Amino acid sequence: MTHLSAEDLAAYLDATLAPDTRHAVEAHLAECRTCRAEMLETRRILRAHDHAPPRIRVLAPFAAAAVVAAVFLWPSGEPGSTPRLRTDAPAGLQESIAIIPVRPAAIGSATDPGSVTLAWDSVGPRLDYRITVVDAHGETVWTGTSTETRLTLPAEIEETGDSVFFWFVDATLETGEAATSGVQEFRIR
Amino acid sequence: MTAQPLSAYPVLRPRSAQERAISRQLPEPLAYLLNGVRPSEKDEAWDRFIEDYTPLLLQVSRSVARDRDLAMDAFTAVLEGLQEDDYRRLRAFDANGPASFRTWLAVVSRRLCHDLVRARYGRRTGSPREEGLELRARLVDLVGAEIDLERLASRQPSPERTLRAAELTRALETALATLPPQDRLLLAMRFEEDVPVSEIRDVLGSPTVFHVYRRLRRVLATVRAELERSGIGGPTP
Repeated sequence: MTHLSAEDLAAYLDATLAPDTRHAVEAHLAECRTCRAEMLETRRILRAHDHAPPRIRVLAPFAAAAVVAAVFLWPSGEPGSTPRLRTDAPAGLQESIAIIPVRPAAIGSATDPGSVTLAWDSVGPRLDYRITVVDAHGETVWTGTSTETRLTLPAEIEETGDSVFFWFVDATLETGEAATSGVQEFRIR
Repeated sequence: MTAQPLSAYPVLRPRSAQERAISRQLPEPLAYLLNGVRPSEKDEAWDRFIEDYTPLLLQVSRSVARDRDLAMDAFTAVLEGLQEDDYRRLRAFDANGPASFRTWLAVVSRRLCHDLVRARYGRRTGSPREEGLELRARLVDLVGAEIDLERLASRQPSPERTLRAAELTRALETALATLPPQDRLLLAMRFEEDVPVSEIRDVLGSPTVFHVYRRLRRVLATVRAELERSGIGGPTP
């Protein structure tokens, strides 16, 4: 089996190959683990290079959520097991990051039995809230923004096949301070 | 990486009209590097090239070699490899081709890093053909487990069950081989590499992860339906 040329692999990563060449490259990638691993790893390198330090400022609210998540929630180490919640977060952490209080997720409604509605308390006027939903493996399955304090998730959330999800909502206050709900859990089955 | 103004580079004089045309298509640092006439021009152009591309090359080196010392050795090997034989590898970049120089450089430099690692620690045994056969068998096993191939086979009473399972496996191999390349790549990434769905979405260019999940279910349903339609999954004719 001949491996992909640097030109073909690079053009595939750039998504600039002609359709017939792309099909041939994908047929090879489906069969050749070496080239597939090279494609995936090179893609990750380019993505990491793209997300250089200037973008860190934009991610500050998510960094806050990640810190709270690390404190309140961590995996038990067993594959497929349910992460445990902590209740003994250091006091200093709560003082430096504003907490967004949340309500329990509403699963199903009279008009839509499969709907999932998330709600939280307002922490300031005219804020843009960013909501992130991850599955039990930690993969982000949905993100969205809202100026309201409640949001109904798209029905496609069920397409993942999972029943346990985690979510958090972030915002940047007018003072520039980060606010986050911390990681919450909901189940749909 | 930000583009440097033309005045930041030494004034160089390409040798021919063809070289001038190629120079216009190449990234500026590369154009000046490859078309420099005097050694001093090339040295200065090489310094500029390193300055512009070091962040990318360091990212590549660190991804291949987690150990800091090995990563720096790999970075050095990349620079030496790119400079070797009057920048032979860099001259191989096809400015008229579909690939961007940055992506192409990432691929080439990563291969140079792996050459170093292989030279230092040895390479895997087994020919590419053997590896391909082994991987194909593994994908059949994994997809077979996903679509519950065993249950399809178990509809037959023993001792036909073993024979039925072998028939199903062969039929599954055929069904997988007839899938479009992108669907086969989807299955390989999902079941062999355990690639996160968000990454599969980016590789395949799907709008959302839900499109990937949907496509995955559709492909597996197609494979399963093909098995049942061919009479493999039903009662013995």
